[in-house]
Amino acid sequence: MAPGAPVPVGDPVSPSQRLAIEQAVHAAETACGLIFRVHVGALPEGRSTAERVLAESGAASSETVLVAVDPTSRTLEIVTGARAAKSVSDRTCGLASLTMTSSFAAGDLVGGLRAGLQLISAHARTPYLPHLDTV
Amino acid sequence: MASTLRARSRAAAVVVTSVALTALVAGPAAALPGRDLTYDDGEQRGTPMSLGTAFLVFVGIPLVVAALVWLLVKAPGWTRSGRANETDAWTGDPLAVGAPSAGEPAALDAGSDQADGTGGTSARW
Repeated sequence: MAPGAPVPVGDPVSPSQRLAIEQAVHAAETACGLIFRVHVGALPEGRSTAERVLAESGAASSETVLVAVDPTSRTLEIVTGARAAKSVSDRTCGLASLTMTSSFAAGDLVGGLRAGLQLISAHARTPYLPHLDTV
Repeated sequence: MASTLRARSRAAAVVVTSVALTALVAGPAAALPGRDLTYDDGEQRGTPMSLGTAFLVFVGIPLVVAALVWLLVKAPGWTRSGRANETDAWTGDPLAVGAPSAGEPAALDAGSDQADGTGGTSARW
């Protein structure tokens, strides 16, 4: 299967497509300095499961952005750590989810993930640091 | 409810009007007995079209075209690959990209931001 071919949601990804996702994760991390994780699999309890997956990152979870996709229940969860949430607003996450679900609905899992990660990294802003101008 | 009724009655009026107009157009083309066969100078009338033929041409052909278009739009959804099956499960192993490796040192002090909470969003498709 060609790297650019759409992967129907429900089919496992090929090694070349996994590589494409890894490259997208790496590019996003390089662009904004945050840690990105992609999880594709069952999310039995929805957001709670996604938050537990994020917590598995340990100390780095506060700077991690997790994109969790459950193709069976057609659920997408974007969870940002405490520090990451200062750079990636919920509005940005909503915009990214809209982009990704549009691709997922068309059956393109890899393309949706790449577009979502690119959008999040592009919109991640420098966190506001208060009191820098005071002595 | 009232707006739906109004829309439906409007649609019915359009259909009735179009059928009536078609019949009006097709009517004069019928070869009815007792028709005026007086020819003017230089006039050459062709063979009159029967009512059935006119109906087939002006109503039947558009209906066939519309049915063909409908078929072309609906047919892909009838195939197995075209049908979105809600019960299709993820057949592959759980995919994790960017997961932390075992033994990764805790480089950040996570205690200071725990009270801020997480963010993000949820969506379905």
